[in-house]
Amino acid sequence: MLTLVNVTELNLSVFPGQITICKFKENVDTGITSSYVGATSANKVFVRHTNPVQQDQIQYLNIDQRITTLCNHPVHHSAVVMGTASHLLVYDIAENRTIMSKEIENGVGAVVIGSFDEAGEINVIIGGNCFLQCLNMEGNERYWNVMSDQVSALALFDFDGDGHNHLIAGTDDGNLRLFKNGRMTSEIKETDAVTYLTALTDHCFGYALANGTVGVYHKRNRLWRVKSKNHIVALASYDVDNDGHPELICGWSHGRFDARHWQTGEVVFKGKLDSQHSIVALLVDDWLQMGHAQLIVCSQLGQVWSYLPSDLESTSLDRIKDEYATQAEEEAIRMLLIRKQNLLAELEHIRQSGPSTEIADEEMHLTLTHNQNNVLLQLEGGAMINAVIVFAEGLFANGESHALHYDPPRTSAGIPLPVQRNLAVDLHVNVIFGSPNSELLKVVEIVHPLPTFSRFKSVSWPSAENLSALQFRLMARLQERIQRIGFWIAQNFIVPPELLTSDTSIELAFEVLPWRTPLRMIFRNEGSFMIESDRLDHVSELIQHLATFFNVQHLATEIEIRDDHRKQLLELMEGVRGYQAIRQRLTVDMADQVNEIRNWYNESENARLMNDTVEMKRCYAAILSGNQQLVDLQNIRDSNYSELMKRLKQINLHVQHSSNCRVGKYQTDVIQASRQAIKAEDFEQLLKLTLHGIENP
Amino acid sequence: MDPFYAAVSLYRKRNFVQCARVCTDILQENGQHQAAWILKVRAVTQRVAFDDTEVLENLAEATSAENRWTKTAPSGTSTVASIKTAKQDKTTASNTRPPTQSRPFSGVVRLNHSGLGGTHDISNSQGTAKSRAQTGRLLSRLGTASLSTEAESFINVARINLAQYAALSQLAKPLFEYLYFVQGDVKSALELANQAQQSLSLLQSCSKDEKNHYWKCAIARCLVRLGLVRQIVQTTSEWHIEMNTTDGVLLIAKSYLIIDQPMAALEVYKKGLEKFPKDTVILSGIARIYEDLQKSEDSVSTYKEILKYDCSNTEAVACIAAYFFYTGQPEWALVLYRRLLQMGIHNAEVFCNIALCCLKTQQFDMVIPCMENALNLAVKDDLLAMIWYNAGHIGLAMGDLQLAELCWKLTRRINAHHCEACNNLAVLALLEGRIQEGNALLLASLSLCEDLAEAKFNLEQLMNQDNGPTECLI
Repeated sequence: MLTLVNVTELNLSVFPGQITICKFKENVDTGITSSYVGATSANKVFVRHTNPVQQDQIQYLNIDQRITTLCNHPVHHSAVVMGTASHLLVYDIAENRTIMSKEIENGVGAVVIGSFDEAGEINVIIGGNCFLQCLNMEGNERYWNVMSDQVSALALFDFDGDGHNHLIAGTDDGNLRLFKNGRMTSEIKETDAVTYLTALTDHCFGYALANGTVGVYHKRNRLWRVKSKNHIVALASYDVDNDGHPELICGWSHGRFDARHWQTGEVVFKGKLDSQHSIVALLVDDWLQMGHAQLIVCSQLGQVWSYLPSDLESTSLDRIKDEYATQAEEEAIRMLLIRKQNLLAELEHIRQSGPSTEIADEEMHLTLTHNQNNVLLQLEGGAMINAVIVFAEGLFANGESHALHYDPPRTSAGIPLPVQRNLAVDLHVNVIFGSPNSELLKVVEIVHPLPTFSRFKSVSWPSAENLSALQFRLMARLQERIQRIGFWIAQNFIVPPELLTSDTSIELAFEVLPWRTPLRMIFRNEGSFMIESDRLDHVSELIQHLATFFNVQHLATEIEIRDDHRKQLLELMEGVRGYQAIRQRLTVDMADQVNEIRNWYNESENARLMNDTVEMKRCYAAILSGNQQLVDLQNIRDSNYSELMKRLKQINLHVQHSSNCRVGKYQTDVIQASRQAIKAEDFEQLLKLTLHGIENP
Repeated sequence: MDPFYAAVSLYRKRNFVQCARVCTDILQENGQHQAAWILKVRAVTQRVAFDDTEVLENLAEATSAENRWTKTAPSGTSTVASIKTAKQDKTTASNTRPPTQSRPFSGVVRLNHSGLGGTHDISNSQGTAKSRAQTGRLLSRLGTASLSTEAESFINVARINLAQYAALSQLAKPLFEYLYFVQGDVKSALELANQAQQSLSLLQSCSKDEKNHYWKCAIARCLVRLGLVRQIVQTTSEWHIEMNTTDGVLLIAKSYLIIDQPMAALEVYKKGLEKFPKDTVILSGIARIYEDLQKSEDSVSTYKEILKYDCSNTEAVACIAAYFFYTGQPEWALVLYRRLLQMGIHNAEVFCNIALCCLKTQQFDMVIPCMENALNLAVKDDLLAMIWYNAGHIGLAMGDLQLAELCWKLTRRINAHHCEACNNLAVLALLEGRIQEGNALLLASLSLCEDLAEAKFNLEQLMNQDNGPTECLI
């Protein structure tokens, strides 16, 4: 349904996600020309002009920093937005002018530009090392937010149908967060790092994960997903069959690309590049000036294929309507056919085996328990279990299913589940069993929910002498009856029910697998509760879940930190200050060194012109040693930089966790106040915010 | 009289050397006399300080090639590219001036190292166009040079505890300027500025103080000196809007110019103008950019605006005069050059220009006296060569080819690298039929300056053997 309209050679290698199209209007009479803009490996940006500028078709921009992301500007068509390891740059190629540049200490991981929320103006949103930052075009910060991990994908689109675009951010730990007016409205947990996001039609968006999953969400609900062993390297939305609804286009690492229907995930169109080309980017733009945007497929070696829908002319509303009607009919017929097939197969089966065969009809019992280090799925029943297959999304390290075969068959089975994250999933357990003296086996599918906090292993309350204080203690008030809290615990934890029977208080002790970090919870009848743990992230996750469960709008909490940990935190923050100072000094030292080398070089030229070989030798030796020093300085700077990054990330994570221990306005207030404290390098204040939140919001 | 009072008085009278001496005496008696110490630092600094926002330093010049964003910027957006295009585009060259060594484009020679003394050096269009590269690395040595004249350095930077001084706001600024201007120790100066800014922000956290701008400017200055221009552009874009001094505007615009983004610099200047309307320094910055971008009309109208606010701005007068001269209105140019003379710019270049204007306006009686004045005033060899070169043109215009030939020969004698004179001599030789000599001179001219279009053209004509009267003179 797509026809190839143009193949262009860029003669430049292209890196994934680092190519875009800029448009130039050179003068009034010539039309708009489009140019490909992409990053090179040598910290440069190439601009490939359609019309040669100054005898050179390819223009290089000298950026001097590692370029992490590139995109074009929605208003200034000749401008390119570049994210580098330390800066955000907006540069107008046609006017040779920097429109905006801003230092982003944490480094830029993903960038999206456009107008969103109620504000009509264009904003740039930067995602990076555990943070999200929104800037206006003057470079002033509009808001700042913390994320749970490196932000890897951003998109703007209207997910609630209020006519304004909103922000979605995907992170390396598989969280999809929807933001509205600077506040997170909902969070979706996916199974792997989110690599690409793209807006589709009707409040839908497509996403791709690092493990080869691609799918579409409608608002908060997933419409479909597909998993492949290949990696997705590009994602776009483009109307392939010209029916008014864009399809989701995925580019795969093995050089194929396919268009999938946004509602069903059915493959509508398949395409393939030559075998030696692998896809690095998919763009949608009218770069050939044909009046209809083309789908552009870029290969790694710099070949660009442009496609157009083949039945572009025959677009009409009637055709679309007809198609809808026939589609619905076809769908119904298909469903009926499948049902018929199944029924026929069943009938055939019964006829073959005959009524005399004894079918084991014992029930299977599924229970979840804990052993030493793992969550254990216990299967018990009267029959002999031959094999078990467990399907669960994102639970197992490689793949989505886990199969076990028992030879000889046994009556009970324990399957360890490697739960790594707090995520509620449905376990689809297929048990194959039969009676000992029967040839036939029976397959039973059991769906069993895995509770959110399944890796919290219940242990007995430590005795008084073992009751050492843990690093963090959180206290808050929650106006709920103790029975309701018991209900929440029963639903989301694996806890023996006798622990929840008390009417006055619930006291629970856990070990969080797989690290076996202790955690204690005490809920009292009068409404206060206390959570103690060595890790703040566990506490914050509990609070967030509790708040959603009981629909708490705002919750303020008090945190106590033990002294040694407090010292550790302050050291971490002081370290950042030290590293920043060193970084500044190293930059200056390097500049100084460069100047020195330049002087020596001039000296050496003088000596050369005067045929003074001895002096020349001396100069060259000085240049050599100066160069060596530069290399050393650069190495020091590199390690300093990575150390700094690590610490900044830890601080951001700390803010994330401490803010997540609050709910609603207390949460956002803590984030904003923490940002101010970090900016002012006021670490005492930051710690205070962690402990007490904002008293008078 | 209290010696300290005397020192302050000397400082007020701008007698800095004396002042420093008196302060040294005071300090010898009482090493803890802080006021005397500051006064001495200030006196020493004032003696050598210069306005570095005006000067595009050669150091930055040397690094600009790598600082520049792109080598092939679209025409009209880059100062480097525009010169190239002007040279390639000979069709438009009839109404624009080809910028060669002896016929500079601008009315004022800027970026001149001799201008660092404090007064802005107004040399003239036909005067010394010193190539930028020749100014060499003098500026980076400026610090050491001034130090040697000082003979004694009373502050040992290595032994100073910078953090301690940075906390004392009244000591930090003079010390910074001393380090920056006198010692030329930019690295320490930058460290001091950084620490001072930090301690200042700690003192009055959250409240934005105007004093902070001083240190921001100071940091930017140091970064320019160190060649870290990009860092300024990238870190300071947010604060130039709220700048409270013109220094900041000038510094940022300057750094944009160093990385060859004149359009961005222009925007910075225009934003600065909103904050400081009618500021002639900013306006002349705009005019210079227009000039570099070959937009002479815009440039001249900006210069005219400057004259409205500051009628004795020599740069504006000289540039407008040059514009008039080149656009066929030598009478107006003459008026303006006379104005320059009246204002006390009594130098060889102005006289030479007046002579040329007189020649164009047919006032032949004034030509020779002015030329003689110019020759008397010219001290430097380069300048003398230029004036003889122009004198040759006067001879040519009066039909005295022998005078012209003599003048140009003198030019070559004084400045052996003067390719234009060489070319002109060749043409004269060809006219007299000395083909061999003419050919040799043309080749010599081309070897001196490879892109001299006129010499190339002449040589081509010579090759074609129809050596009619079509040779080009410069």
